[in-house]
Amino acid sequence: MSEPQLTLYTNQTPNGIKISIALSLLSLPYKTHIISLDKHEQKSEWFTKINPNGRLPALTDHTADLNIMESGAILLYLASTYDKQHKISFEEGSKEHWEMVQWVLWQNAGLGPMQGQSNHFVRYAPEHIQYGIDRYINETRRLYSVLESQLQKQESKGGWVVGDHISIADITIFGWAVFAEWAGVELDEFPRVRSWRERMENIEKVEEGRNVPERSGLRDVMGDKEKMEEYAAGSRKWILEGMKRDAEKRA
Amino acid sequence: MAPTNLRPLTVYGTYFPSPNPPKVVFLLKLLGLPYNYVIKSLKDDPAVEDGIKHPNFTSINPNGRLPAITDPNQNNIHVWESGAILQYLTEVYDKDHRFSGKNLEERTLINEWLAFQISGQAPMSGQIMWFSHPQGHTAKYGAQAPDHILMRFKNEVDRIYGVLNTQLEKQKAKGSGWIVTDRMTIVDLAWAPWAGLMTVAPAPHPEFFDGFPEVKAWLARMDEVPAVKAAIAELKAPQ
Repeated sequence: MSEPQLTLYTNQTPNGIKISIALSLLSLPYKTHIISLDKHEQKSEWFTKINPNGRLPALTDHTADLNIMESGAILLYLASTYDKQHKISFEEGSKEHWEMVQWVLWQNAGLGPMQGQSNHFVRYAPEHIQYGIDRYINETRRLYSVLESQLQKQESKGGWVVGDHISIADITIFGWAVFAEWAGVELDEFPRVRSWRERMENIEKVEEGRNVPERSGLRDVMGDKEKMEEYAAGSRKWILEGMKRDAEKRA
Repeated sequence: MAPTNLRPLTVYGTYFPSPNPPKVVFLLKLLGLPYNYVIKSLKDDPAVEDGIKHPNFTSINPNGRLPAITDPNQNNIHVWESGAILQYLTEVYDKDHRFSGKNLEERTLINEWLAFQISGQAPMSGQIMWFSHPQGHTAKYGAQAPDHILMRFKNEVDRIYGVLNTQLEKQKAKGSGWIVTDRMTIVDLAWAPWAGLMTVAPAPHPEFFDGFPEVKAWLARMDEVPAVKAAIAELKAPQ
């Protein structure tokens, strides 16, 4: 197989790090193109030609001349194209393959959007809306409880989300699980989720991929309320500005 | 051609217009596959025997949501998450790729727009409907949701349909009336039920797609697909 020529458009976000972790576990060489969220570069004309949805991440495979958006689609693409040895996936068509697809999509459709809303109401909303905070924290907690039960069932096979080894199902959930406390969700009530997360964190290649494009500043402030608030204030500005721009575009 | 001598698949769902189960029924009809549709109760209580949180259903779908399927032709495999079910059914039963990708590029396009549907269109539409529908938040709490919440989700839903409209414009220029490729695929089947909900008064309003003319035209095309028409008629609750 010829050397893959991949460019990852990313930043230090839950969806971005999924892809760098997968690439790292597959030992695939790639170029990193940092997209500046605070400058709204993801909405720029050049980038929306790569991802028409204007979101991170995106991946270009130059050998196939393909631009791919949506982290779930990128992970499935990497698994079917570059993981013939099933390091982070399972044989296509097998029972484990379909279980893996289900958990990847469960994360895409459920955990991601709901934890994302918790982030918004807990950290970024311009006013305190208790109802918004409670609604999304509770739904996120429900989803982690579903994961907790799954990990319990999987204990005898090594405690991975699917099958007997790490897969893109673990990777995609991990991208969000490392930010659980940021969304106001403590993992103390989900001991299996917490120990699974620790196990993931101790895998060198996972750590390497997680630190793309650089180590998250959040890791040093997590748990310190004051510093977390300071950190949120920095992001709040561009997030609310982005919402305003979106609204104006249509007005 | 659908293979003969197949045993009917079981589809766990609920009545129309609940938007995720119809995606699966559209495809089953298009592929000519036999199925039994089992109506589940949406009650959240794990003690309700035909409910989605009862252990006899969470053993099929641990997430306790609809739809899910059981396929007796493939060792009784259970598949849940509507996007995964569409992928599964095409992988196993759409060997001619009538509704799925013929090659890597098409498969990738389909996966992208399917992922965008499940992670963007569906959850964000779900939020705006809950907050703006009179039987949603307002009925439960006796007051309208705060403006910031309404604005946030309205913005996001508008943004998403703007992206879809642009995609359909690009497709039109290539001579296709469908979201990706040159034919109707599982992507159209996944987007249509959620889009249809936006036009059902009062959530959010019947003229919603006037600002998105290509989406409006595409939705009208979808409504004319015989399998779509038949599925919707079949899934309506008895009066």
